[in-house]
Amino acid sequence: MIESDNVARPEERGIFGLSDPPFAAAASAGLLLVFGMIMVYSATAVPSLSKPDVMDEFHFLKKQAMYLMIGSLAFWLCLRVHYRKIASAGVYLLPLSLALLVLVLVPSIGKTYNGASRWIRFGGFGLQASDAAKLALVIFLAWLMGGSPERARSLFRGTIPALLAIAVTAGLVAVEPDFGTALFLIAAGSITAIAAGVRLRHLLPIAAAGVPAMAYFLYAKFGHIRDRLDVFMNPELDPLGKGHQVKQSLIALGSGGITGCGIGSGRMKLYFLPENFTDFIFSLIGEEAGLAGTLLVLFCFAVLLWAGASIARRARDMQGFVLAIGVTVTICAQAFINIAVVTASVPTKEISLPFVSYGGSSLVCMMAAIGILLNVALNSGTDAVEAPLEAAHEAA
Amino acid sequence: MPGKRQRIAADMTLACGGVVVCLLAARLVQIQHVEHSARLSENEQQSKICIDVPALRGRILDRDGGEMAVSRSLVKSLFVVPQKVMDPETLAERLSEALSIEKEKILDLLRKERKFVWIKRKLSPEETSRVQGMSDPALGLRDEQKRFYPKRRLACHAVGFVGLDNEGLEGAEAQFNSELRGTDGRRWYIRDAFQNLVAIPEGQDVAAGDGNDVWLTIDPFIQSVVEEELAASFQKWAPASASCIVMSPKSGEILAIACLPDFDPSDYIASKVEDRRNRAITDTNEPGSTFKPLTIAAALEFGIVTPETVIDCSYGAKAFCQGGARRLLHDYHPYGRLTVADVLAKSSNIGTTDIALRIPEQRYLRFLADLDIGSPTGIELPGEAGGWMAPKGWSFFSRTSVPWGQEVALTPLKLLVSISGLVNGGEIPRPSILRKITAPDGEVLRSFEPRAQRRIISASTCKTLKGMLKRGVDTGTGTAARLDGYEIGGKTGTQTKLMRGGYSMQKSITSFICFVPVDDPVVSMVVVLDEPSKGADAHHLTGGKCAAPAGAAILSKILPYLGVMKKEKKECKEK
Repeated sequence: MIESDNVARPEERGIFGLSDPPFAAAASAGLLLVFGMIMVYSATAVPSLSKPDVMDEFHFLKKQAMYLMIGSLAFWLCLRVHYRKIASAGVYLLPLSLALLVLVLVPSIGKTYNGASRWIRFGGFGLQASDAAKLALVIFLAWLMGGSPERARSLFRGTIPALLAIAVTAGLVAVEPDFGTALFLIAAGSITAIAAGVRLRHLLPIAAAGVPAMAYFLYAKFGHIRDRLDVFMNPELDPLGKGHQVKQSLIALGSGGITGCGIGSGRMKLYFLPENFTDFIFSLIGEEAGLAGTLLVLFCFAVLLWAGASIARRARDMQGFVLAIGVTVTICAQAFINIAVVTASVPTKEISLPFVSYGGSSLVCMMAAIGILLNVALNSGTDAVEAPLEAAHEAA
Repeated sequence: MPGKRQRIAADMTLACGGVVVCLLAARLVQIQHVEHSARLSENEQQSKICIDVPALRGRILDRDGGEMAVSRSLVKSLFVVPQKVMDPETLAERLSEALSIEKEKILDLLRKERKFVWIKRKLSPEETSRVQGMSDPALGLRDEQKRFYPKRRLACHAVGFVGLDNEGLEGAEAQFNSELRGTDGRRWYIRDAFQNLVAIPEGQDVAAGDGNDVWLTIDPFIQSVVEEELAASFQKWAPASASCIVMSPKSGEILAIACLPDFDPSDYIASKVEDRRNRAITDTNEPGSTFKPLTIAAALEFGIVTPETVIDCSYGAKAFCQGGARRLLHDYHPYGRLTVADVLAKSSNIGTTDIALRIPEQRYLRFLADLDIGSPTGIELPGEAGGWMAPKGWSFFSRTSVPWGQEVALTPLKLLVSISGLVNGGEIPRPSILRKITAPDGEVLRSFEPRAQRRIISASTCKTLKGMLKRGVDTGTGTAARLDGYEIGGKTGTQTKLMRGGYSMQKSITSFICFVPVDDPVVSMVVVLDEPSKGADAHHLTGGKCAAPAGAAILSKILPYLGVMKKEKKECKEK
């Protein structure tokens, strides 16, 4: 039996091949990357010129271009090495990234920024350990669940190791502290695990016990989370403090209108909007490119989601499926949370916009992720001989 | 091979994601479309800043268009933004070299915790070019206006001066400040969150509307003659102060107005406050004999006397009685019987009082009320005083004092305007120092219209009175003002000063008021020397001795300039 879903037929490709999921995914990611480079330049040109120790309008663009080259290397590697090999490396990759997360907490190695230790510095570069952890968690889940559907359904062989991996990763990120990313890891990991086959009747009782307890713990224990929730509920409480960033973000988005004030001519980047070229770059897109620009970005991620889901459906095996759905959820959920944060739809979290925000580790990891997704897509139909064999085996 | 469950999971993920995308899209539409205008105005409020572009202050011109006060924005002032200073030591050293200010002083300024600090205001051109050469991002130059007075002290009291912020404080500068100031323009800048100006947006600037030019009626030649001669008298008689006004008696235009001591309007701070006062309009004094023509004019107008009516002057001392009141008056020179014309020419207090007492009291008061004694003339200059009459109430004492100029106080200008009204045909003119106001492009916005205020005497009374006043100069107290070939009418005044508790024996105000030519006056003038103290005994420092020669000296120079022809000597004799 040949699954029609498994092979992308030439006649289905449509105009410019946009209905071809791998092509659509690559095109969306490429568009976002280009847009990101333009916006990083737009956001940083004037401020970096006015910084006496930089005095170079291309300072951040050059660095981002270098990250893009490293990212391209990672993309190429993740595309060329068969995804099964990647998945089987998951058993080593996750412990490695957990080790990095521990290293971050060592004061002489981890670099503290905004009261949280998130960076490991070597040479002139900083590595955000949690970015690597996102990818490692997905690969680990692919290794764990990809062997056989039975394993995912098993409580002790599948569900509990998966939840343990998610909990440990999220826990290490949470003590940095970075609750936004920790919550994101729990969400993305859980969705991946459920999609892979973890039974809801296993998961739900554990979640039902764990989630409220953790939420209360976070709210009670950590001051700045509580402050953010309070400010989110009532932004006017502190318009110049923690509410400031969100308020400025809304001003940036709203002042753009339908078409924006023109790329390069925005004013919010003149120190009005903090973190305007990293986590809040979407607001600048809103100011300079307007609703047209923001909807285009949102549309790109929607296309990526559709392409990722399609690739996952057509994956040759469970490993491919888990990898595809995992990286898709990782990329898109992060994008949606970021957009929800900058539109003040959810409380503020430090989370970057994939492909667009300035930042090396995020860019490299996201390009590696898209490499894995395309890897799954390209390898879905090549083993044409195996597919009928497996089908026959199943039928028997 | 993913199973059915996996495919459902993928579809569910896609569906949930689709819902999230739709929600986010709706949220974006709400923020970016529905709330657009509110957010945009918030953005502009914080990122745009409006900076005033100062309008160039208008000029003050004399009647010929010569510049008396003019603003130039040639000057630059140096400021520093201390936050941006990288190396205060080096910068201070370079600045101290360029501006020759002590290094420590500059260092203090550079270390101030403010956003904006002036280092030096109104730099010289050399300093400006030196500072421009330094091109330090922390330094900035701002254009500043400076007011120049090209004619220096000329007519300084009429022109006035401006303060440090270029707002008029005195004289025409203050009076016409709103015309001169213009309307400041606006220029919009984009600024960053630290208040630094970043760029200039297009199309929202409002150009500055420069100030209008104010043309005064001051004639530069007459003004300089007046100031020259007044200074000479000032040297000779050493009065406490002196003032002189030259006016066109028909139109009321002020051709010259001068006071001494004066001041330099571009450095007014160096002068004393009282010297900046325009004494010709702010100081009231009892006029003394110069007030007599008004009394005589009333008597002539009401037909009570003629110039030939004989008055008994009682050889220098006469007691006037009415009811229970009694007043003893003296004359400086004793006279017996004088005609009304001689009473005026020889300036007899007794004779004048005698004539005044013949006028019914109410009619005399009405006449003084028509002259508006006690009110300012309304000239377009700040600080004009009104004067007063009979401060303790009208009594017999007033009735025997006011007619010859006591118990009544006027500014020199008010006196000149009143006398001009007697000799110009009988109508009080409205004095004015404003000729016209023109826009920067030359368009006339307002111009002076000569306007009589009200008629006080008939033309025939006027003619009679002028003849009498001519005798005052030809043969009376004003002979020192005689000029060969010119027919001058005038009246001198010497009034002992009213001090605390009574009249001083030593200090007096001497004055001379005149008009030329007698037939059809084109110019009238008053000269006042307050407390002359040198050159003669206190008793001999009279209006005829001090003020009248000064008047003659001025007239001798300005009459040819005004085109007043000398009469042939023959013709004079015939008359």
